[in-house]
Amino acid sequence: MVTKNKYLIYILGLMVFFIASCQKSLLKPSPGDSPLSTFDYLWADVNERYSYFQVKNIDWQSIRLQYRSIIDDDMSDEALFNVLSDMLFELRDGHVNITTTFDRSRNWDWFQDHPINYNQNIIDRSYLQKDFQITGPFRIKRMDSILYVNYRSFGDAVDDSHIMSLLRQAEGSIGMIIDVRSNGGGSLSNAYKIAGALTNSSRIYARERIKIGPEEDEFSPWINLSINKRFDNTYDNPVVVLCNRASYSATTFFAQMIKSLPNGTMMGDQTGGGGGIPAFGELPNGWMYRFSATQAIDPQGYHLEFGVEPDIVVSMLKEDEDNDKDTILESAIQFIQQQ
Amino acid sequence: MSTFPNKIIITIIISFTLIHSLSAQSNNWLSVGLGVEALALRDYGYSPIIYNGWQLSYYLHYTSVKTKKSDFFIFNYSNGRVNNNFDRTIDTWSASLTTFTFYHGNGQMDKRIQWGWSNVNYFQHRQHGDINNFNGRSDYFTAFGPAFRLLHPFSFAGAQFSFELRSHTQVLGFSVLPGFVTSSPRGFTGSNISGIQSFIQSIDWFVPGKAWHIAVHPGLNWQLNSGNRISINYQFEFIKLNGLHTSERIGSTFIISLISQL
Repeated sequence: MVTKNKYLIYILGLMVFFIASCQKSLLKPSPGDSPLSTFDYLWADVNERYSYFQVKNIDWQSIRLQYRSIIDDDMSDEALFNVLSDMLFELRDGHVNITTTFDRSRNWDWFQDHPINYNQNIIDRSYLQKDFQITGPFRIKRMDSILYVNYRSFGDAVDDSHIMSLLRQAEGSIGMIIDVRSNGGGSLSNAYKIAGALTNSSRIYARERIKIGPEEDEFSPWINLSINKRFDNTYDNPVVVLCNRASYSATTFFAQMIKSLPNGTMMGDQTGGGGGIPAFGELPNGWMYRFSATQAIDPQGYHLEFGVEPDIVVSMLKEDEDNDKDTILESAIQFIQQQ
Repeated sequence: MSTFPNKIIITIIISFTLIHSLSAQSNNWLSVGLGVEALALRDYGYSPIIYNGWQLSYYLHYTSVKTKKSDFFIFNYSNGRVNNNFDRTIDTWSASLTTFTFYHGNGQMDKRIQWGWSNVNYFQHRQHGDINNFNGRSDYFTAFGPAFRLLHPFSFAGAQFSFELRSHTQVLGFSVLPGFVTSSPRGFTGSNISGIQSFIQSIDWFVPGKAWHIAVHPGLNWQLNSGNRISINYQFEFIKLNGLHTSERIGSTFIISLISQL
């Protein structure tokens, strides 16, 4: 029995070391990073998780055939990047990018093909000038009893103290203009914080659903997106949000939030869209990528991906611009004064 | 979180000091241990690339030896950072409660070969350094399975040692894993239903083929004159969970423990 146990111990001891040395075999090695396997990986993940194939009527299978034929396992990283970028460009989505150490793919047609309707120099020279306040990410100026708030990126953090200061500065004003033209988006939580200071109650402004499976139509049920009162004081005088085609992603959602308010008005040009929240991934060759994995619609069922239409369409006039005047901002001021 | 490990270490030291001062003889043991784990993990919900790195592991281990069986309760907390060949990082932490019951017949506590069962309750959280949305993916499972224990006491240079090997695998239980796109489980994705119903809808079965957990724990115990022990252990653990995406990890941990009889 003693001899038997000794042998058993030796065998088990060997097993332990054997398992330990074979641990790497329990994990399949990382997939090859050849151009072809990288292409296949990207195409397959987008195929399963991208949310807008049906809405945009995109034939992803035929796009695969078209671009896979260009792939050559001897091609350079730059050449592979160009092919993958061109393929992803077909999605017509500003939330779709590949990021490498040398470049970042993008589709900016949603604003580059349209008038910009915003001139930061005019805002700085003629409106903000030298005596504006910098409250967190906001540049604020009181103009003719109207509070003008210029916010450049929803990626710039807004906290409650900034909102409280904004509300204090808005006291006694007859209206507020929030200028988010050319605001490319950022964190949706910042949009919720600002909107939370402008509503007295919970308001549904949109609905959203998320990809939950690999089939093209596998989505979660639609869930309501709402803005809620966040502060004891809220601002209930007229609020005008200024947008242009470069107002994208979180800015699109913010515009829709303002439109849902009884005292809210959207002015300027429609937003660029960006209604899908991007999911991220990593390719076998280490490149990062992202693409829309959700859908959002307004209460009428129109996809925010295609932009939010303004209540009042106003375009910048060249003669105004030549005279350092912002047509859209002036229209907003006039609109509030007439309320 | 950065001060959390320090507090744990201090708590472990104080606990052991208090426990060591107890001289009452009983068949209950308390152990505190500190380990270093080489970790390899992969989360297909984010990347097909294996991430490697190191974790610190903290253990609290209670053993109750009775006439016919021995019960083990092992709490573990580990945290660290792993990275891939492209210098991308994942900060990870995990917590587990593993229990063993080994049956050794009437009074045969030192029986060489013992069989029993184990229960593993395991939670791991991964925070990817380079993604903004749907970040913070977590896995949880609870599962039961058979367990095996080998004991071999021996003496060397006048001191008493024992070699102990525990091995177990889980074969039945349930898991809760991240969603297809979201970090929250599928029952909570786009859900208007209650928390409990969402949790139930998030459950996957933990059965062989769908999920795997295998662990081997060899160790060498050195019996001190006081009756307490110092233990050096190695733990190999493999976990693979096939949900909407597959996540897998292999950990190799070297642990030093102080075991005190209560």
